[in-house]
Amino acid sequence: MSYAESMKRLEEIVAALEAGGTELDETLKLFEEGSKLLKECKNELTAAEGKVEKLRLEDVE
Amino acid sequence: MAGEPVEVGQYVSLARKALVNDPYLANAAIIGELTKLTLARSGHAYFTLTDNNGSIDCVFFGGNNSFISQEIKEGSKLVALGGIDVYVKTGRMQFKASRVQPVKSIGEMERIRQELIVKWREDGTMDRVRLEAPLIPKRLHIITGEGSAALADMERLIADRWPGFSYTVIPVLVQGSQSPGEIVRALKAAGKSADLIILGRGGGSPEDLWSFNLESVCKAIIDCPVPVVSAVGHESDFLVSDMIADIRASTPSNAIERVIPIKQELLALISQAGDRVDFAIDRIFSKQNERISNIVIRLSAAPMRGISNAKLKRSQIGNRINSAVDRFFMSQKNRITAFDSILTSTNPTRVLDRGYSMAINEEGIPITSVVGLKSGDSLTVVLKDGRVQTEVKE
Repeated sequence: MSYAESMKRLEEIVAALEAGGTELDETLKLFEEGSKLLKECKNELTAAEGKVEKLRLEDVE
Repeated sequence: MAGEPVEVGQYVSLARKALVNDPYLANAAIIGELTKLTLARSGHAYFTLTDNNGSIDCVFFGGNNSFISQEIKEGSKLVALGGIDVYVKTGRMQFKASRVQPVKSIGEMERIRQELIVKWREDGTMDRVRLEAPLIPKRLHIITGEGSAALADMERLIADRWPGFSYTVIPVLVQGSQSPGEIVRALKAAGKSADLIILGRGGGSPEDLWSFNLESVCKAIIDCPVPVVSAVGHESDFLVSDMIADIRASTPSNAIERVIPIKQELLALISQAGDRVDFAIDRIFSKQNERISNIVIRLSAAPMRGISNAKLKRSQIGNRINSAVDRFFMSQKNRITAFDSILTSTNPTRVLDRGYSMAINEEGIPITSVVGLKSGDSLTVVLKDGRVQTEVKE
């Protein structure tokens, strides 16, 4: 799942949880999925960090 | 230090090899004044390109038509595309052209630009589906002039928005006759590994920015499998690359603002989502808790009602239930006492107490008959005060 997809799904989960009315089982499942997505999103931010690279045209061809 | 002497032919061959294998020399566009043009009967064109600092003989095999159709005459400024070669027999260096193009006036260039725009409007290229930039580019490639102000601006802005953000820079010439070729090559290379490309250049004269109006460069943007941001010149410059790129940024800095998120904002969004999840969960659980405690209260009230009902009934029906229950318990009690005495009397240890013994097999089951026993079977004999291991003899 891309970052954008993860955030979108997270938004759905938050909306579902906020609306309430889900069964306890479902609630726990949503909570678990939401926590997992939050962690993934945070990891995604770290993954974007690293170094700046300079490539010569001759080297990339 | 010079080594053993080599033969001239071998030496020139080596020199030729070094030259033709140099990727820069092997694939270049050179610009100069056209002199000594000969259109040979064979169809090959021989000419010389000259400027104030240098000169080179050129050949364009089968190039006569190119010169004729483009009405290229001696004395005009010419761009030749091709590569270096050496004729080993004479040691003469020459430029093997594969394409020639007269250098046009700005009026002519503008006419070609307009034609290109019209062509791409009509064939639908302008309306093609644009690629979207990823929310967080993981392999951003910036194609721009080495050491340019545009690059410095972009680098500074990236560091502001997202310290430590990783990206790749491919330096290219962003103006001059070499520029289009380099940009095309860089786009092709970046298209293989990037997930987003920024093609950037700072402001300049229309001629300086002209690479971004050329069909070859724009075609490379269109053909690129990765989303390309065109970020050329100032706000007011509007180039063909801006029209056909996936994303148009008004300036290189604007490109960064459009595609690099602010890390702190993303973090805030994530923690906000986390807070909302926590809050919603808390609410759901306290609601559930409330329901559970409601049920508990109702449950604990329920038997009380049952008991008071029973009391009422008892008072109505009198002692009949009471005595029936008593009778039931009485009979059960009697049965238990009876069982107990039977069990006590049949307890085998009581028999052992009287001097009998009992044989059991390995599973602990008493042996009551010789049927099934054979010589060699092992038996355990249980006596009043212990067990002995025995074996059947006959």
